[in-house]
Amino acid sequence: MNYAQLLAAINAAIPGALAIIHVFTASDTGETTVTILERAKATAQGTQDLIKAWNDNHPK
Amino acid sequence: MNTAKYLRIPAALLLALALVGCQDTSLQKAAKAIEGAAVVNDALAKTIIAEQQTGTITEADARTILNDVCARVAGAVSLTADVTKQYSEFPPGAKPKLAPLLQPILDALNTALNTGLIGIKSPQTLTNVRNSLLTIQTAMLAAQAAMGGQ
Repeated sequence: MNYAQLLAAINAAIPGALAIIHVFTASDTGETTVTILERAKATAQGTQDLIKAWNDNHPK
Repeated sequence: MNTAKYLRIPAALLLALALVGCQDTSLQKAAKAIEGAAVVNDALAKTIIAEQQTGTITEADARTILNDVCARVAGAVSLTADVTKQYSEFPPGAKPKLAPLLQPILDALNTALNTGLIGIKSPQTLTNVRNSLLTIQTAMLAAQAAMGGQ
């Protein structure tokens, strides 16, 4: 029995089990914690790039 | 034979094990809070730049908020995201602490709220900026609380 079959068997035995596992292993949108954190980092990098560009265009 | 029926008990055990193994809800809460802070901070920076371009905020005030608040929050978000990603890999007792990373940012936000915004002439802009700073502060505190206040 491979992993997918095991999950299918679990879901057959306990309806909704996969949904519960999903809630505990991912965010509401099905994303992992790492994915959310990497997106946060990308957003922060974008902010830093934006500020750098503004500073370059507005020297003291 | 009803396979599902006989799988029920081992499946329940497996499910319990899966839930125990994956119960990183505190990490998820922290991750969402960190992303929330990043998004609001990005919106704040864009608002400040737009307001400066229309003359509602002086260049000096824009520079202060962008560099002393937004850039610092963005840097803290990156660091906090890295620490949070690695959090589960550290052994108990050696967990990295978020508080030392977040405290300077919280201090900067407080300073900005208390003193750094007086140059903003437009009441609406002032309210928007103040609300954004408070939202970022709340998100950072939520991330800290989700990680057990460490």
